Amino acid sequence: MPPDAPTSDDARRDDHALVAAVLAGVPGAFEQLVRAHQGLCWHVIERMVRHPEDTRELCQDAFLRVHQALHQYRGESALKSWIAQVAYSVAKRHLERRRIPLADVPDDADGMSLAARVADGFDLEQAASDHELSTHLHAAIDRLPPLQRTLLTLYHLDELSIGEIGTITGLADGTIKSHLFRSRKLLRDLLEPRLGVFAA
Amino acid sequence: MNRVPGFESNDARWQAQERRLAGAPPDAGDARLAQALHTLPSSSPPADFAAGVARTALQARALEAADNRGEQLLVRLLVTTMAIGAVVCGFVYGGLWATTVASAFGDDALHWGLAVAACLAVSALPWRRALTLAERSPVSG
Repeated sequence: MPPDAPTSDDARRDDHALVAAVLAGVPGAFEQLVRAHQGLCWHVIERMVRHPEDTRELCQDAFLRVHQALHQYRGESALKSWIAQVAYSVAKRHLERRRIPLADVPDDADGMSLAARVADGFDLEQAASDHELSTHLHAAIDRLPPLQRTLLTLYHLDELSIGEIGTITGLADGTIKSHLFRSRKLLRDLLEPRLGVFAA
Repeated sequence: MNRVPGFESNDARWQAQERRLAGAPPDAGDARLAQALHTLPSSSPPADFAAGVARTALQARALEAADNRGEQLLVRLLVTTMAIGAVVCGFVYGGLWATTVASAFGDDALHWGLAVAACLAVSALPWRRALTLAERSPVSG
C-alpha cells in the first residue's frame, strides 16, 4: 500500500521549474506539463464521469483552468495533486450539473441499498476463471458511486497516499478510509458465496 | 463531507483490512479482491492530447490578449472623442457659461470654480502618472 510520505524535494524542485517555465511562456513547457500529469487527471475524471467523450472534454477543460490559474500555485502540495484537485473539481461540478450523486451514503448501517446495486448482475456462477471473476469485480466497482470508485482507483491503481487523496478531494483522512473500507468490504462480501469453489 | 455514518473511526478494522489485502493474502477471497483492485482497467488520453490542449491554451491566451487590446483601443477612442467634444463645447459655449456663472454667483465664484477645475484636470492628466512613477524611481532620487 502507498505510504503517507510527502513529495521529495527533487520532485518539488522539478514542479517549480516546470511551473516557472510555463509562466515565462517557454515554448513547449505547457505541453510538457500536460504530458506529465495527463494520466492522473484522466483517471480522476474517467472514474468520476464514466463517459469517454465527457472525459476528454473535461480533462481538456481542467488543463485549460490549470493554465489560467497556474500563477496561483504556491507549491504547498505536489503539482500532480494540485492538478488532480482541479480535475476532481471539474468532474464534480459536471456531476452536480447532471444531478448525479457523488457519494452514496446508505440509510442503514449495513449499507444494503448500495450492496444490492453493486451486486446487481454479479453472476458468480458465470465466473469460471480468475480472469472472469476479476472482470465481474471490475464491473461491480464500476457500479459503485463516483466518489467510491474514484477513491479505489486513486488508492489502488495510481497508488496515491491517503494524504494525497485528501488534498485532491478535500476529504478528511478518516472519511477516505471509511469509504475505502466500506467499498472493499462490500466487494469482498460479494465473493463470499464463491469461496467454497476457490477452496475446492 | 462528513464521515460515513457507522464507521466510527475504527482504525483497527481499517488496519486489519489493509493487512489482509497487502502482499500475497493467504485468504482466497482477499487474494482475488486484491488482484482485482490492482488490475483495475483504465484508459489513457489519446497520443495527441497534450499537444492539442497546449495548442488550445495558446489560442485562448492569444484571443484574450487581442480582446484586451481591442478594449483598450475602444476606451482610448472614447476618451479622446469626449475630450475633443469638451474642448469644442468650451470654445463655443464657454463665454456664455462664464457670464451666467459670474452673474449668478459673482466673479469670485467663477475664479474659484476655474481654479478647482484646473486642479482636477492637472491631477487627472496622464503625464501626472508618468511623473509620479519617475519620482519613485531610485534613479531619479
